[in-house]
Amino acid sequence: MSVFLQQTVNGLSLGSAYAVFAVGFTLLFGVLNVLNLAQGAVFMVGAFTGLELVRLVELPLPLAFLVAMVTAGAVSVLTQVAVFGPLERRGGHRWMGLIASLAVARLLVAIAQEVFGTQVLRYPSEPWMEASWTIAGVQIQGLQLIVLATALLVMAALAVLLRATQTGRAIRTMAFNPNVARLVGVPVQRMTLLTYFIAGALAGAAGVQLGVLYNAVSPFMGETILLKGLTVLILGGLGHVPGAALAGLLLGLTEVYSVGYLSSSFRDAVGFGLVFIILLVRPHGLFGLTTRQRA
Amino acid sequence: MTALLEISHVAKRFNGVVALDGVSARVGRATITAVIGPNGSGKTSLLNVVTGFYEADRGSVRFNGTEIAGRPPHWIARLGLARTFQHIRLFEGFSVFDNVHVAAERRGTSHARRRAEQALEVVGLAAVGRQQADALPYGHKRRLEIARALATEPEILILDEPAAGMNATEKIELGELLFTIRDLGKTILLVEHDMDLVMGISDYVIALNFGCTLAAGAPAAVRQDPQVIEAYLGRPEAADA
Repeated sequence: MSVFLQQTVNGLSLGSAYAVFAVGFTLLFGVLNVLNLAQGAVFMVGAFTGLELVRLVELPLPLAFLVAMVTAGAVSVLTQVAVFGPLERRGGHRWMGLIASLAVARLLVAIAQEVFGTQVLRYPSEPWMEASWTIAGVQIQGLQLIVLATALLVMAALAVLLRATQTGRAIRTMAFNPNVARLVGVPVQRMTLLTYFIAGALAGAAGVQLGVLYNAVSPFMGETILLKGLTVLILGGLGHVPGAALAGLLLGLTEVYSVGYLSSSFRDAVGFGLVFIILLVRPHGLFGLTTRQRA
Repeated sequence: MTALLEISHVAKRFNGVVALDGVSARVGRATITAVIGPNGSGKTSLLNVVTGFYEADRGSVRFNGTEIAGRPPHWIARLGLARTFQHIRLFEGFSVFDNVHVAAERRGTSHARRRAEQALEVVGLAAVGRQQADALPYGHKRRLEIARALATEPEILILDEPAAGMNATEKIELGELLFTIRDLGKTILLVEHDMDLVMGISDYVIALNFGCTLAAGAPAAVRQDPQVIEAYLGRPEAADA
C-alpha cells in the first residue's frame, strides 16, 4: 500500500507538469486547429531559459520560472508571426503548417545545440528542493510539492482566463468559427497571437518544472514531451482543455505505476497502450464530446 | 426615403458565370426590405457582396454614405452591418447567454451583460440563457443568431433565409420578431424564399433574376409585376397559392 501511495505522490507531481505542457498543446489544437510539433522545442527553450537565469544571472528560481514562461511565450509568438501566420495566409494545406512546425522544432534544437552543447545540464540544487517529509511511510519532496502547486496554479489561472474573462471568451469563439468570431468583433489576429503566447508560456513552465524534477536539461528534451503531449491530446479528447489537464495527470500516474509495478522499460509502452485501449472504448478520448465542445 | 444602404451597379462573376449583373437597390432606414428571386438569381451573392464576403467586380455599396465595397467583413460589421447565415453558425459549446454576451462585449464592456440580456429578451430567449446553444431547438437557434447579431448593435440587420427550415408557426413568430426589431429603429434586409412571409412583412421588395433587378417596390406591386410573375412566381394563379 505504501508503495502505491508513494507512486501516487510521484505520479501526481510528474503528471501535473505533463498536464501543463499538454494543456498548451491542446489549446492550440482546440482553438486554432493547429497541431504544432514545435511545442516540444519551445518547452526546451523554457527549460534552458530558466536554467541560464538561475546559473548565470543567479535569479531566484521562482523569478526565473516566470521569465522562462514569458520567453517561451515570446518564442511561440515569433513562430506564428514568422512561419505559421504567413503559411496560413497563403492558404496552403494544413499539412504545410505541420511540416513547418517540425522545421521550427529542428531549428530551435539546432540553435540550442550550438549555444549549450549536447551535454545534459542541471539546475543547481536548493535547500527547499531537497527538503522532504515522511507521512505514513510516504516520502514527499519539497520539489514535488512545488511542481504540483505551480502546475495547479498555472492551470487554474488559465481556466479563469478562458472561462471568466472577456479575453478568454473571445479566444474560445475562435474554436467554433474564426470568421463568425471576426464578424462579432473579435480581433482574431490578436487573439491568435495571444493563444500562441499562452501555449508557449505553458510549454516554458513545464520545461522548467520537468527540468528541475528530472534534474536534466538538454536540447533534445522536447522530443519525449512532444510524444506525451500527443498522447494526452488524444486521451483528453482532441482539443478539450480540461480533459487534457486530467489526462496529463493520468499519464503521469500511469507511467509511475508501470515503473513501480512492472519495469521502467514499460513506461512509455504502457502510456501509449493506454491510448490504444481508450480509443477502442471511447473514440473521442476520455473527455471529448464533439469538435464543437472544444476549448 | 433616406437610403441607409445604396447598392449601385454591382457586378460579380465566378469563373465566367454571372452571379450579379449590375444590380442597384436602395434600402431605407427602419424598413424591412426583402430580396427575392429564383434559385441562382443572385440573392445570396448580393448579401455576400454587401457584407464583404465577396468582392464585387464593379459597382459600389454605400452604407450611411461610406463606401464599403471591397472592405473585409469584420470592418463592415464594425460599421454597423450585422448578418446571419443560411446555415446557422453559433458558438455551439457556449451557453445561449454567452453567445450573445461575447458579441455585446466587443461593443464595449460597459453594460455588456445588460445589453446581452436585452438582445435575448427581444428574441424571446431570455428564459433559456443558461442552456447550451447546441441544445436549443432549431427555430430558437435561428433566433439566437439574430440576438447575437443584435448584440453587436447594428444599424442594419442582414438575414440570409431566416425562415429556412421553420414550420408555419415559427414563421409567423419570426415575422412578428422582425416587426419588433424594425420598430426598435433597426433596418432589416433579408433574402427569403417564403413568399407569404416576404409579402406579409416587407415594406419594400427587390426581385432578382439572372443577377439583374427585375422589379423593385411595394410588395403588392412587385407581386403583380408581369416580369416577376413570369420569372419567379410562375403562372398568375400560382402567385396567390
